Amino acid sequence: MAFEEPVEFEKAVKRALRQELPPPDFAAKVLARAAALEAATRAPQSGKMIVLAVWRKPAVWAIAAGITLAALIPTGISEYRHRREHQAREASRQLLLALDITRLQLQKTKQRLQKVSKQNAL
Amino acid sequence: MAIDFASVVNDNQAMVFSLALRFLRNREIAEELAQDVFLQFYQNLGRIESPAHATWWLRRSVCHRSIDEVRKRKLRPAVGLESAPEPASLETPGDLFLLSRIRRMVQALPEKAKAVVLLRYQEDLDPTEISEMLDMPVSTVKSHLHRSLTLLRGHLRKEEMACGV
Repeated sequence: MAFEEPVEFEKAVKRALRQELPPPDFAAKVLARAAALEAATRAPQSGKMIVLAVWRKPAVWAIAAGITLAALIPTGISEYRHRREHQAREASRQLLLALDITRLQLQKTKQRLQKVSKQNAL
Repeated sequence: MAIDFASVVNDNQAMVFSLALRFLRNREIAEELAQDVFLQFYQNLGRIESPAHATWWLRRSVCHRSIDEVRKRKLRPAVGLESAPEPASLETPGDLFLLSRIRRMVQALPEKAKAVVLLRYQEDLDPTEISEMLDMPVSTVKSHLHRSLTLLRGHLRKEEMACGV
């Protein structure tokens, strides 16, 4: 049985390593798995999956940032204006109060002066 | 060119299954790996240009995946190919015994050498094609082939002498 010729031995190796057939249902199993894979790929995505997929896009993040800024900027400006108006009203109120106090002081001083003048005249 | 997946499976199932089986030495594991290779192929179907390209892709994929699987599982001869049904043939009982011994000795080769021998003698590829498939220089392929054949012949001679053949 010894192989004196390498070619003969190579032929024997070739015969030994002939392809073997897979189980009879092999192809059917593969096609079924491929069909299942295809169905899973084409199935409509659930809401959660769609939301997750949408948030993976940079453009969506840019739009969301824009909307957020658009909502925040007017609110900030309005808040700033409101604060400035309040400060102005307070300053005005304090000025009026100061003027009122001054007016009363002047009135009192005038009354005293008039009183002193009458006494001097007598 | 549109590739029909069912035809590709039909035309290449024996090649993919046989290569997986020779590496993994277990019909169930080999069948599972062969199915996975076809599914991976299905997912890449759009990139396949021709039936020949499909065969090339499958052959390359099953070789690399089988080598990885063997390394992952650190497979040792647990279930020999002797337990698998013999290919239908007109061999004499003596021939069948010899072919079975050759298969057993091929199984015992290191993975890369085994891949080279299988692609050369099961798939009938030449050294250049094998080198492209396994990403190794042609000289290494030739060296693996030469050393493997010498080793196989040596083992066979020893066995025959021990048995007094």
